[in-house]
Amino acid sequence: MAGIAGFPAVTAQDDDLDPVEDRVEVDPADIVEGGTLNVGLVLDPDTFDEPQSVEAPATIVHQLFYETLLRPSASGEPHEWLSESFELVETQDIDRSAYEEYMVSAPIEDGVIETEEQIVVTHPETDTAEDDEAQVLTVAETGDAVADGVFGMQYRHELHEGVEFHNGEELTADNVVQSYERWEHSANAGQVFDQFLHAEAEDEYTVSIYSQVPDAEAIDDNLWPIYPEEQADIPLGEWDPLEGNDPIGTGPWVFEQYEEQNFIVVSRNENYWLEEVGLDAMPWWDGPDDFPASPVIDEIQMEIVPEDSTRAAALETGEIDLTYNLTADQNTSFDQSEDFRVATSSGGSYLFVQFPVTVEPFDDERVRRAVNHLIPRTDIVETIEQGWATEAWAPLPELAAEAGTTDYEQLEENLREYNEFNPERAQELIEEAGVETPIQANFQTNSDNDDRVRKGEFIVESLNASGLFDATLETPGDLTTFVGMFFEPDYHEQGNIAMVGLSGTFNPHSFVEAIHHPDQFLECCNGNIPPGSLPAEFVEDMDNAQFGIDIADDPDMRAERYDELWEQFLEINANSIVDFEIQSAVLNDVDLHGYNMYPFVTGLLSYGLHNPIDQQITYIDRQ
Amino acid sequence: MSLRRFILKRFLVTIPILFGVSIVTFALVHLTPGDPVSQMVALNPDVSAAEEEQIRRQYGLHLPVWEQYVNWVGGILQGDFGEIIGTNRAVEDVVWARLPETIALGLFGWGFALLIAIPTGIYAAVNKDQIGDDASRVVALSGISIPNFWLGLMLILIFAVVLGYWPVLAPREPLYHPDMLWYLVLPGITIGTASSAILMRIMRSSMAEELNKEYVTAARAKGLPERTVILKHVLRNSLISVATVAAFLTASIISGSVVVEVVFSWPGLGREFINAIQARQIDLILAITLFTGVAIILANLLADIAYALLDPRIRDEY
Repeated sequence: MAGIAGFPAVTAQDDDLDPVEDRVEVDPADIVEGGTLNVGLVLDPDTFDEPQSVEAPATIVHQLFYETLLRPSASGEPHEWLSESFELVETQDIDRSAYEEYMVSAPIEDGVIETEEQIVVTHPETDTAEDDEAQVLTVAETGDAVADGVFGMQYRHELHEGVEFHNGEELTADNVVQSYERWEHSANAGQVFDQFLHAEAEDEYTVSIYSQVPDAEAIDDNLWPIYPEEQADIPLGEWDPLEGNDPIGTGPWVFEQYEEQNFIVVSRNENYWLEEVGLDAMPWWDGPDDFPASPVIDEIQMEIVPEDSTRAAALETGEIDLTYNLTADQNTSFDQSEDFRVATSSGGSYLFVQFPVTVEPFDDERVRRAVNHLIPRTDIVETIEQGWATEAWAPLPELAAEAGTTDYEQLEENLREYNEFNPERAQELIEEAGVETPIQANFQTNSDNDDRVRKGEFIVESLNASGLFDATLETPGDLTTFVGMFFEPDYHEQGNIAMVGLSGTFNPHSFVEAIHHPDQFLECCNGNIPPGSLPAEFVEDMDNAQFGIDIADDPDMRAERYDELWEQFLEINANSIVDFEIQSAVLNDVDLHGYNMYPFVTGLLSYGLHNPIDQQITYIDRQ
Repeated sequence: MSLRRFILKRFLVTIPILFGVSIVTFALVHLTPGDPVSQMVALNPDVSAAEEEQIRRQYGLHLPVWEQYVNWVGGILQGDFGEIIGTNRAVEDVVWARLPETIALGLFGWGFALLIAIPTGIYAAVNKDQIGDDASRVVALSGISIPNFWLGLMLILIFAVVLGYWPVLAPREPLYHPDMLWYLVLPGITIGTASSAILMRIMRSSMAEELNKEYVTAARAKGLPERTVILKHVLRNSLISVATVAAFLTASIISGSVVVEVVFSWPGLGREFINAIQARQIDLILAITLFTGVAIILANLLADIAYALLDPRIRDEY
């Protein structure tokens, strides 16, 4: 089946849903150029080599230098960026067994497939726990499969001509191919080779990207930063100023200086390609003529300040202009001050409650649903989050509503009854289940997040107050310790209710797959729902909502399909989300103008300082 | 026993201690669930269990703990402290880069502690059981009781936010820059306060004890001015115990640097240690623990040597 598709060119003004709350707009005539922005970062980047980076906040820095073929608006819609244009060339109804002919054998030792090559696809029938040998498609064979017409989807991108990296090298289709190759065997290779099949330069400025199977999210899942040839061959982990290799991209910011654990300085790219190309050349542009094609701030100085109170103090003394990840108390305090502003956006982070669905009495979905009726979501949001979060009535935030439902408000209204605080309904459900009360319920979460622990205490108190449960809260250690325990093979048999903080994306599947899918058992983020504990038909429906050929060809069908799924989730599965974070940044409201927060912290600077797709620009006018 | 033999014997004792520290730390790090790889894949839904295992093998984390320990000790004996997983950086490079910052902070805190403790302790001893002595006791108790974390934040609030005399953030200048003295004041006071309080009490009791001795009575009877008696005769003897305790307090100054460096964004080993624990960078945790252990052992060694120099009887205990 083939089809031609293009994503609609929408701007924030056209979107029905703009996750940025109280969006501040700027009149281009008022913009003042120049100045230095001082930013307080929570973490030092673990590395500047993005494929090796395991910390999401490091992406705040990476995105200043590196760019992708398409770029999203605040609502997640991808728009042409380094690509001048793109098209969906073909979609084929295949699954991963279609690559069998091109696969090679690799031995399995201790459950690990032993090969030096990057594995792209493993045969779906391979069982690494039982088999001695696996059938795998490695990067060496993907070109053959594509040449024979075996692939899930093909997207063709035409690159802008004349785009230059910071080192003067011109961007070509080869850079795109080499950039994908750079992710091979990196710490984050799994993210790329989860859906990506192959990239092929068709001519100097045309590149095709192939996905493994039909995938409604292929266009987003298969876009990665583009690197220059000069740096493509640097060994993984050595692409770091500390190793003498400064980051080089096509982005609007150029690396200047870095002192580990202390500060990072970047300056405005004086030869930024978009200035040359011009906003009028971008197919989505419909803004004013005098809107800047690049950031207008000269320099960003990023201070690494891990302690929240210290960052807040530095904001008050004027040593920094902008920071994020402050506590609810601090946000409230700054929000009440005339000199500061809290820029907010609907976020994708959430607190998830995952039940041990194979352990009595939690193997009965009525018991799980009873717990959900005793979680005081509104109190949690009002008291602990002080309004800097929203209650989770549906299993996805408004942020992911575009592809996840046809009508988010209606969905919330329909599903609210499942998660609303309702001790009477909880009692009915327990009586229906015929379980003896009080039911022992042991919640576990990580100890190094005070708000999360307080939420756990709140939930435990509420359950105990009902008389139906004898609940306790355990905090066995920091996040890494807890995650280590959570992914132990026998965790799901211990009967603990796990509370984990996670982050979804604009893709509704990210609120489905990671936490519920049996394929993710003992991987992020399913430690309690082993294969076989959910009806096979239900799992198939989950998969088809992203990978069905009809869905991949017609994204509009997706929302309808998901509408059918969500209620099943609450009925059958009943694992639930407590609240969705409101993403926030606190800023000096006297000197900074126009700043709006992106729904994910990764866009703190790359979005906030300049993204013409939403006519987003920040400038400094020091009084 | 000769002083040389005493030092050699005392030094040899430190070697098994260091091994003990390394074994305990290694065991504790490995007993805690999670390793650098689980941290890398913890929140990454696209990394399969097989891929995770592959990364673990790449860094030798699949080997039995004893084998990992032997490999690690073998590396150290050859000057290789391992690497930061996910990068190609040598652990020792990170430690050497951060160590000067922590040493500077520690020295400042140590100097501050002595500067406050000695005159205050003298004053309290000379004015024993008077109001000044009582006041110093209250101050000392407060200094010991107040957590570094809270004190640091209060100093920032008062002197940086309210009064605006000091900056909140860590400096950009190199350590040898004169401005660094200014930057060191608040974190230095924070790290030195508890030690200062302890030393003050030691100084006070030591001096009070000396003041009761006969040679002091004799000196006074000779008509020596009180100032000369105190500063020339009593102070010198009192400082022996203060010097010894001051060396031992190095341990608390080093351990205090972890909290103080986080509060003041000070780019030293303490902050690196917190990061290493969060990321389960085993080699880095072990290296910092080992360096810290060496520093504390050396400080204690110096204290013992100083004491042995001042009181030769102590050498016979070894």
